[in-house]
Amino acid sequence: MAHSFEAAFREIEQSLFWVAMGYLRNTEDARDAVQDAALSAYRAYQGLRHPEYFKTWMTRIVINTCRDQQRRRQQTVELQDDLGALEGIPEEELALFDAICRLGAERARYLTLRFYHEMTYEEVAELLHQPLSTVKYRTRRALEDLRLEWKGEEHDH
Amino acid sequence: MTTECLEMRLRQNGQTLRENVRISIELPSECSIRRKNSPVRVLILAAVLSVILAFSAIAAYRYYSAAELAVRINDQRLSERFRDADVLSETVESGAYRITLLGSLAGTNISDRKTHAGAQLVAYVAVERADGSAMTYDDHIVVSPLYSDMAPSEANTYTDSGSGWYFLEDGVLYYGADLRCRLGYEKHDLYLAVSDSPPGAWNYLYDEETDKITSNPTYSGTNALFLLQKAEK
Repeated sequence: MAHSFEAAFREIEQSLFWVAMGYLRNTEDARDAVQDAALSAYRAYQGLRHPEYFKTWMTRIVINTCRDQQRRRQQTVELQDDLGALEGIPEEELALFDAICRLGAERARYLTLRFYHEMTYEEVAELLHQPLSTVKYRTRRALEDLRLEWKGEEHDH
Repeated sequence: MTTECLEMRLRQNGQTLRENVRISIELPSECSIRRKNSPVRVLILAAVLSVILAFSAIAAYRYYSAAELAVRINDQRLSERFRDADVLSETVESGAYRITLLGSLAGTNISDRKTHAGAQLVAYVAVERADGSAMTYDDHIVVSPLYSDMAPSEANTYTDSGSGWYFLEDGVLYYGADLRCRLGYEKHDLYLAVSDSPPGAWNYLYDEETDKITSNPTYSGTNALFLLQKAEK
């Protein structure tokens, strides 16, 4: 069981990290959130009724962990706080992610789940307990907001 | 940039970020996760997180969601409101029961069922026995709103009216409470009390200095308390 949990977790840990980053915007906090979520998930893994939903289940735990951290931490932090973890990533790539974060966690989550965590619309709908049409609409709206935000960013450069 | 181009750009961006970020999440080699932090922190995390985080996340997959329960009673508007509200579940073990708040909404026009004048509070909970045995219809549960600034015995579902429904499935009791909100409830912290007896000084404490409500720690039965919303400033 330990091996299967680890194998399943390793497959998605990088993208879970970016989902957490969308909420927390801080590499150390995001890493801690994913690690804490893994701790909780590991303990409950044997009781998981539907292993095929591991990705959705694990993501839900990460999101809950992030929100718990957000409740405890009210101050805003900058994205590029820990260059060690982000070193080597082209600045423009980080700038695009930063633009997503500036949309706010509620909008950013649709984009991080869809494009960074590679979830289908159906999986996002299941995760957030929202109708498929709502998820599609809000993703499109977040994309449109990002397009405007990113357009301004490009002009600034 | 068109939306299609932006989508493609985001996929590339996601791939780049995933491949290049330098993080390492420590996982257990067998049955426990070893953190790089102190053993004390591990113990604290194990206790706190296993109760608060794992339970609440797992709950979403073990129980019906609030939106699903609203569909069950043919309340389309309420179901949509629960879906839009992005409800987070929360679990508390109290006395003989493990109680999960599946969702709550307070306000006007939140439901197809207008059961009260003014604002209503709808709250759904799932109740299990803490010892793992199945719930029965003999298990007695009271669900009531409580307010800061008001003693529990003076402002609750018995004094202000309310109704509810419940059913059993897989040993879990699902309880839907449809309660009347007091006028001006937004100006108070709004709590949901779930107990095995009506709210009073024996199961809930009211601090007249701070105006806060807390569960009475000396009560031997069930006296769970959920903070639903803070008072508007």
